[in-house]
Amino acid sequence: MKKSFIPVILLAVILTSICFSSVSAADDTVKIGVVYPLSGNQALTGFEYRAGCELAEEIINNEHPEWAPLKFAETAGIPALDGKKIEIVYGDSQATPERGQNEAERLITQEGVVALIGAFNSSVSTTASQVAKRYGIPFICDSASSPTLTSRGFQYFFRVFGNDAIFVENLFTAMREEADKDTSREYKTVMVLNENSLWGSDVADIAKLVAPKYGFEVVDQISYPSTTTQVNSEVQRVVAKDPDILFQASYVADAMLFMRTFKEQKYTPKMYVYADGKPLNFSYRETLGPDGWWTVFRTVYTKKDAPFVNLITDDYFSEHYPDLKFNENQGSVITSVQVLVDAINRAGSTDPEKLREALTQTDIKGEEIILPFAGVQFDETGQNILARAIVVQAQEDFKFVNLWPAEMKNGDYVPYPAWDER
Amino acid sequence: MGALYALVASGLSLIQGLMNIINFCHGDLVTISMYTSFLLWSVFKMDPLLSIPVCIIVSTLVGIATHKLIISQVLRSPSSFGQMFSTYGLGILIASTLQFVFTPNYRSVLNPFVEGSISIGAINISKPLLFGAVGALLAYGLCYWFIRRTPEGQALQATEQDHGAAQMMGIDTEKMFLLGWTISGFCVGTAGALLTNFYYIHPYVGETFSNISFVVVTLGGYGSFEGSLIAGLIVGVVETLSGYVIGPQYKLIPVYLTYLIVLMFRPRGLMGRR
Repeated sequence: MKKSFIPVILLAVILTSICFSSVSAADDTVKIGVVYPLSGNQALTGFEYRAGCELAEEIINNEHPEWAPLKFAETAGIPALDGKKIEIVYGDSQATPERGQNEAERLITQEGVVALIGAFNSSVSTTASQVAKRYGIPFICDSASSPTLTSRGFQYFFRVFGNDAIFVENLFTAMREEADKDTSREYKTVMVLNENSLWGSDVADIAKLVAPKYGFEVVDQISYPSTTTQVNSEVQRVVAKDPDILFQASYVADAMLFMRTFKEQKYTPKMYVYADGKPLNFSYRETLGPDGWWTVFRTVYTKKDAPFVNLITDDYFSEHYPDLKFNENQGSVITSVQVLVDAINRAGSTDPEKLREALTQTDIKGEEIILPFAGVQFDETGQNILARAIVVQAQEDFKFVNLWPAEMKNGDYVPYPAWDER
Repeated sequence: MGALYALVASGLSLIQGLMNIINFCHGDLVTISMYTSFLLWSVFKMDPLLSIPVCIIVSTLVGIATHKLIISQVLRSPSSFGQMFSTYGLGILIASTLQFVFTPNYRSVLNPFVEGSISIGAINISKPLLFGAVGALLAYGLCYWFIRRTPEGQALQATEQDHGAAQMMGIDTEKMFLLGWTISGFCVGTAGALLTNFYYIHPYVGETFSNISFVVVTLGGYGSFEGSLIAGLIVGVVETLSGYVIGPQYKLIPVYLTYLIVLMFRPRGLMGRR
């Protein structure tokens, strides 16, 4: 009796797979694969990227003349492919390189995506882009900023975002300028505090290399595992070295843990700098509240002066995603999708080789994208040479004041106050 | 932190000793308890310390439901894989459901009753951590007293040692299993509420504690309630000390090294039965 079931089940499996594959073959969309940490410890970030992906689909697939001159806002679908729409297919990396690799493989072989976008974590981007290289599929790196990614000589790798070498230099330039202006205290020493995965380690290495160039002495470096449950020993070491500037590369959960522990230990450096945009994170602001003010950080996203920005970030985005605030994560994924669609549009095809060729000749103007970059143009390593960071300070009530570059400066730096002065 | 590790682990150890199953969703029960505490705080402005009883009730109920619906069924299954994967799967289900309901945002309780630190000379001791340690030790002591000094506790121990013999002596083993889940719920509920005081809340936060708990239980000895306490404290102290002495990036290595060394010389753990 039981045995007779087996052929029936087999038949059902075969039939369903045939049905589904025929559906996807008849599908009249261009599939784009994305890999993000949609579950696990960093799921919040994945959630933010997912919102960005959905917004990117809206921009490309539907007509929004009110959002002009944002690239592809006025048209519906990909113009050169008779208005064919895009469809974003999700892969969940759970922030681990192995999962990211498997998901990239699945997206390419089973979902038939024309290109991959991702993958937030530098370590995941490394493995996922290796898969893309093996299959000869373009990989657009939206926000992983480890410099090693573009030094591997991959022909199919393009990074829209800046890399940490650029960002850390930007930060130190701003730190030097502010340190010189602030005569109330002396800034001589820097301590680097970093999580020990690829991103944090790369940032720390660059910071140590760059600091002397800007007249700072690196007194110590601490790298720690980001999944830690307590950071007491790390904090004690910072307190013992008492650096003038604390330069920190952390993920959001550990960044919050550090800030709380610093407060318990009643410790403040003279300047508190994050290597990325921690205070832009919703949880960071909600959890730390006033404890998170006065930190300096870099972002690639600031509301720029363009007609479509408020319409998208305030009106459309806040209405559809009331829990989120538009930030660099959405900005970078939208720009990445635009870059890819622009290449498909110019190539007039989704053939990987033609797509790669078109991507190398990308030339998108600053006013056509939502990120405050000077535009998008790739060098021979696949790095966007027009990317840059903006150095910002989170002031009272998380009012973000741009400190650098000079043309975007809109306020003055406030020296980091001690806990009892707040 | 060591005392909290011990409290979480002793619940795990108890279930393991009693039913001879490995409860992979133990950490997720901690997560549930933390979310309960958070929910009470955000709706009624109830301080995490006051929410301890509610957390205990919730995690006990979830534990009992797990037992009734899943564990008691898989205990009949001849394959140990079934037992292992059922709780593992349940853990994923719990974490994913929490992510769906509460979104993956990191939450935390603002302005709890216990906050800041006490200064003794140059040393600042974090009040929430101190409170957590004292609370965890008290809760542990209560469980210990219950198991070792009351008739119900002795029946529980008897069941742990030999199901068949206990049954012959007229002990209702099913009742004892439920009692085990209740004590485990008590440990996890208390630990969750105490953690909420200073730790962030996230759908996957339990994983971190789950991993450490397994180390603690194995180090302390399977099913040994006392072993969990000693091992929990050892893990906490080794982790913190090696952070200072060797460097924070290597602080987990001595923890696992201690664990491996103990297992090499005492495969049944520090206080495990033969």
